[in-house]
Amino acid sequence: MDATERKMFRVAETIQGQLRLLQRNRCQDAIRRIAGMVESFDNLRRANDLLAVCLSRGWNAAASQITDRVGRGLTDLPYYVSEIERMIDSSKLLKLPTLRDIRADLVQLEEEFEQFEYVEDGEELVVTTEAIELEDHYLGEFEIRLHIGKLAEMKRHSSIYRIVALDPHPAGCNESVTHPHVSDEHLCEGDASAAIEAALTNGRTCDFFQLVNAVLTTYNPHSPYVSLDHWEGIPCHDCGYTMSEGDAHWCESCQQDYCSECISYCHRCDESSCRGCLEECSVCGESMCSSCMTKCPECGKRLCKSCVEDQQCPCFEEDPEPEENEDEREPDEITSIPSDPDPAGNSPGQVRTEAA
Amino acid sequence: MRILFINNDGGGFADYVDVTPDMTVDKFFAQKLPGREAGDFLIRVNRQPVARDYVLQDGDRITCTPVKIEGAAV
Repeated sequence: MDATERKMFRVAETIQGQLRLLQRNRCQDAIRRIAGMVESFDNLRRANDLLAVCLSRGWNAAASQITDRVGRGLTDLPYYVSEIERMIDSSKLLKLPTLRDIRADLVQLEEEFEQFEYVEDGEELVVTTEAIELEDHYLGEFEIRLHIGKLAEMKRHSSIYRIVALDPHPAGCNESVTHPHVSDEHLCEGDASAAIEAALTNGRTCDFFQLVNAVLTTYNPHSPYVSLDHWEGIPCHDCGYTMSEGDAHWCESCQQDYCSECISYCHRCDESSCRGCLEECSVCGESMCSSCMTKCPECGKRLCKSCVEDQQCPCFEEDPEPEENEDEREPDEITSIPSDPDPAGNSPGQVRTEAA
Repeated sequence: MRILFINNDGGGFADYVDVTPDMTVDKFFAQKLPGREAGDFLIRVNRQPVARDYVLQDGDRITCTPVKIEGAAV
């Protein structure tokens, strides 16, 4: 057996050992869930005994409390049942492969992928994809790094492998997105999720790499981290700053995207609008969108609808108000009051002022 | 005649299936993945690429893996 062959068997042994541990871990998880369910049944049995005692002694209030407890206990049972079913299903999926099968898969990997290596230090199987280009966007080559030393810790399978961009061409708005379906070196598997899990739990490493490669070479425009249409980012229509789709603010008036610095809002209807599309009301001085601005029916001046409704336009002040005339007349009325002396010694003017 | 069929389309299940003695890869694919194009899959028999008219043998291991799978965002 030469060095390469020995190395391959070591890798196969590591994979098999990890899968055996995984099988054991899943059984232990199932034991824990079953124990939880048994405990729930014990609680129900105790509640049943107490209920019988309460009824025999006529303790109706206590019986009512116990039935509440039974109700709460019953709500836990469907959770335990579904969890145990899920674990049984996943352990059915897990079939321990022979060393010969694992080795044959590793040989196939070498044949299928031009660049494949085993990194002994990190216990990683590394496959390098060809340069990937999706819809005329060059994304470069990626390394698919499967940490075989952690297969047994597999809870969410996407946590045991990484997608590393070798010549990163990330999205303009987010450097951690190196591929429409890769963020922070994690692939969102989409439709491949179940098949990838099945491949990993059965030690079919070649199928795993082929499936991941199939996702990397496909673009799903309906659910990317960053859409290829906006791969370079969305420029702010005002300052030109490049931002992500989620950070862009849409101005309904001019139908353009703006960054958070350049977007504002109408102080009357709260609608987002760019500063260029907002008008300042000449009365209250607030910025308003065009649909919240109007003309004063009296003088034709542009001002906001709120100021028109509240008759705040200066032209209303120019017309004398009846109440204001009364105020103006007040001193005359006071002076017209006969200057009979008040019995308390107050002057007539003082009495009027207090009454007012 | 029994063969091991690993279908990496969808759930990725692996199971033994019975086939007739004259079953070719082409016919088997059409039967198991109706409506799908063989060109959209990597088809391997005993981990090797084979011709469409290859006649499956007892104990063969056939794998069908789609070459295009839609990913997603979390």
